[in-house]
Amino acid sequence: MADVILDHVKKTFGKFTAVADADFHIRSGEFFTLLGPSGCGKTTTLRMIAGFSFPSSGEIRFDDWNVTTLSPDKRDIGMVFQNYALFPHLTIGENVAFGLKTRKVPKDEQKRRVAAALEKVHLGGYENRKVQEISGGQQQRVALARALVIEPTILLLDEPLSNLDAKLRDDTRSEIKRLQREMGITTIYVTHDQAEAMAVSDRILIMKNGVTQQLGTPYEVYYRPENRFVAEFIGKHTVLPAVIERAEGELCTVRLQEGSRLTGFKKHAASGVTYKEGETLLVALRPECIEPAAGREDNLLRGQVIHAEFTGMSANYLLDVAGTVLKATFVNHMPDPKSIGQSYGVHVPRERVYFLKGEA
Amino acid sequence: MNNRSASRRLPISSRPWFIYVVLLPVFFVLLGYVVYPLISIFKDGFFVDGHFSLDLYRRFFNTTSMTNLEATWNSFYISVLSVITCGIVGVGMAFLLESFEFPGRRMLKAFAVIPMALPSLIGAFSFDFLYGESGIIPRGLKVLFGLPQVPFYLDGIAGVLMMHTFTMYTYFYLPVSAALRNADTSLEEAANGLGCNKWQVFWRVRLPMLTPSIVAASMLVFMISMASYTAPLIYGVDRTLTMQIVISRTNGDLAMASCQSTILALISISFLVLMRIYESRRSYASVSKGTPVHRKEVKNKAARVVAIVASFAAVLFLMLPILTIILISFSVNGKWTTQVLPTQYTIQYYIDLFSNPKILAPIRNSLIMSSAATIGNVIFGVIAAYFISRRRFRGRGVVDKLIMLPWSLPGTVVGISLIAAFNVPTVFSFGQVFVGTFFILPIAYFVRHLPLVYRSTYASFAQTDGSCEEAARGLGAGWLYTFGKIVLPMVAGGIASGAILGFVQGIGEFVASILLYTPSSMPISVAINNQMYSFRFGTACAYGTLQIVLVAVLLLISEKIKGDSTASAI
Repeated sequence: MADVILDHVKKTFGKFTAVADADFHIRSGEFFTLLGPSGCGKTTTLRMIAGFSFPSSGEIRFDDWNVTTLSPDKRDIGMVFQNYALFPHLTIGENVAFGLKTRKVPKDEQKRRVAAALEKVHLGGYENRKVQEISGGQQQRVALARALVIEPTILLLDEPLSNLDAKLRDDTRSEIKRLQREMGITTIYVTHDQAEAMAVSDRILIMKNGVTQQLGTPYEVYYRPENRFVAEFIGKHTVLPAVIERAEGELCTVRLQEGSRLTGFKKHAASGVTYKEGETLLVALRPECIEPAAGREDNLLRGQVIHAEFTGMSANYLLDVAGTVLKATFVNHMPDPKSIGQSYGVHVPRERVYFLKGEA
Repeated sequence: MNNRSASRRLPISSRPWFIYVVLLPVFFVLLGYVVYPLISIFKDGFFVDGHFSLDLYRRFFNTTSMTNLEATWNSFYISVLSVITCGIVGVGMAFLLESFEFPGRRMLKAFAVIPMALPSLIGAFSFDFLYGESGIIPRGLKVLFGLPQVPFYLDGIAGVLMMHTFTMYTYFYLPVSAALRNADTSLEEAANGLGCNKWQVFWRVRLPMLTPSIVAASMLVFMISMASYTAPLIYGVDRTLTMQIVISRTNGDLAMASCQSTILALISISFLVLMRIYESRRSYASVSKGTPVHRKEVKNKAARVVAIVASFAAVLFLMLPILTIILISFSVNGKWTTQVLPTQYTIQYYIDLFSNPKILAPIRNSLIMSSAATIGNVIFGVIAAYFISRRRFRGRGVVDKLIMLPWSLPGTVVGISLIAAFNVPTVFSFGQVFVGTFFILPIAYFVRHLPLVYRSTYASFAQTDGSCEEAARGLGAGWLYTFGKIVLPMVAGGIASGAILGFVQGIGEFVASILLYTPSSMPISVAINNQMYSFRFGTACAYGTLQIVLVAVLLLISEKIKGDSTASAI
């Protein structure tokens, strides 16, 4: 267990900046996730923490220990790779024992710990099987056992679930979370799947094009996105430009481009939003914050129905609101198949309106 | 926290120059044994008595004495014809064996690749024993039908073509049958559904899908035919470039041999370049996984009988050269003259192989020299393949291309270039003259078979997962431990099969050997050649049988290793 500190870490490949300025502090025992679309620099950051590549500038520390340019074998990490990277010429037992062997753990203790680690991932007695004989999900758990058996200071997981099918992914996800909680190990997790990140993480760092977008708890990044990218990527917000009409007390009323007005609370906003009448800002609306108008006239939006589908738990609508596609999700609602192409009114409760800084 | 302080603390192995230091031996070997010899023949072609001169090239392109131009033209058109005949036989065999189901198919398929196991020199001699003017078949027919003359025999360019077709059709057969096996029949069905008839499907869908393999095979066969020396030697076709090179060398005109070698090397290298360009452009990777081809069953009774007879005949034809060598290896030297088959038999020559020191020496030489070259190839190949496949560095492509260069060079060119390079002391020979010593042949084998071992090793590096190495490092293993326990074992199969191929080639090597051997380093192939010319057919063929057995056993082992390693790859 250790804190992991990235101090203004930058990584460039020639002229390309992979990580611009990663600067954060991961607390001991924390489940920390690097989240972002592919090419955002999350894997590069993880590989620098593991020691597979070194920062172009900046420092990486485990507690007070500067590991910036230390080779990976000296860092005491456990890592699970996207494709598991199990050694094909070794048995499962030998795979799990590999890290103990390099640490010169006595033979009988090796045996005991390998058995215990395999037991922990529900693969007890699989020691003598070959890697090729077991399923992808089992291989994944062997990789996890191999990383955990050495009781590393830090556990690194690089998209560990992306090669599993949907059902197995959910099971393995909670399994990883359970093991991490039991062992209290500092864990850094890389993924591009926001639902996965939300479900397991204590805190999430969202990246785009090598630049940190927001760092916060799942609750924070979901309910209080700092910018348009986070709002769209995490909560699937629809973002609409608007002009401030009135900003008095704790309320603010804005006019959208197609003319309708929305009123919300000033405190429901990203940091840095200022309320000056006549200035522009962005309104962000999550699909589940929107309700059918049902006769209400305030905070009303109108749009043409482009698409309506029923999934059982919910009904999903896509509305064309003055050229922007608004996503709306209603629970306990049955869509009318004849509504497509028709005008449809939706209501947004005041406490659900969220403001972002206007774009320059 | 600034850029400089971070890079100053980088471990040595991560500094940008580190890789070049590690690869220094690789550069040294490439420069010394591939680049420098080529430069030597190039240079020698332009200097007469120490002065720059175009005399040699003037002689080469002389239009009054046409020898060289005629040789070039012959080499060229023999190669073109070889491509055509190999193409017809190879593609035909592939279609026959992959599209139809008939009795004897499996047997024929198993024997179709036999010619690959036949060392070139012994193969050429067996063809002469079988189909030459005093060959078994023509004489047999003459006796059988009481003819005054033999009804036919193979000689000259026809003989060369026959020999080329027999040994090289597999370059078409193997890729085309693989392409046919992996072809997606659903594409043909789709074309059918879109209104194409059978012929249109064949011309517009099936054939275009085979084009890449056919074009690649054509260039390969052309290159190998240009480089062919044994077939023209046995059939007495003096006017080919390879023959002229050896004749110049035998006459002591090394400068002319260098000039001729330069021209042959240029032709070969341009074909290598063309081939690479073509390969980089082709992109017919099938989108879908494909449904397996249904072979059409031959149901007609008469056709089935014909098929089985023809299959047996074809298998017999494929096996005849080997059977002939084995038969003659038991015949008494000098007693087989005008009879159809040898009349007196003995096992003396096999006893000689293992007991007569004079007979044993070439076998020992071949084994030692081939092993030495193979060990060198493996060390060099593993280092080069590891860094080229796993690291990104400037000059990577150049190193890769230089290693592959000898693959396109004819054995005669390699031989002459090594003579030109090492008949004087050089840095690369540590101040020694290599020509006329034992070392020159292992070096020649090393250079010739380097691409083979390198390619095979490189391919297994490319197929194995690089993150395994990182996983091992992450688990606390140092670089050396990781390399020994994880990286090497994962590519062991590829290294072994490449090494075996290289070794096999070394055992059968003749072309460079005949140019470079000394009495003390005479290899098996040269011994076979010398015994043949002394009419000791039995002894020669006993050598040949040993060669064939060695090659066959090693190739089987290699296939077994390959099979195992593909089975264990996830």
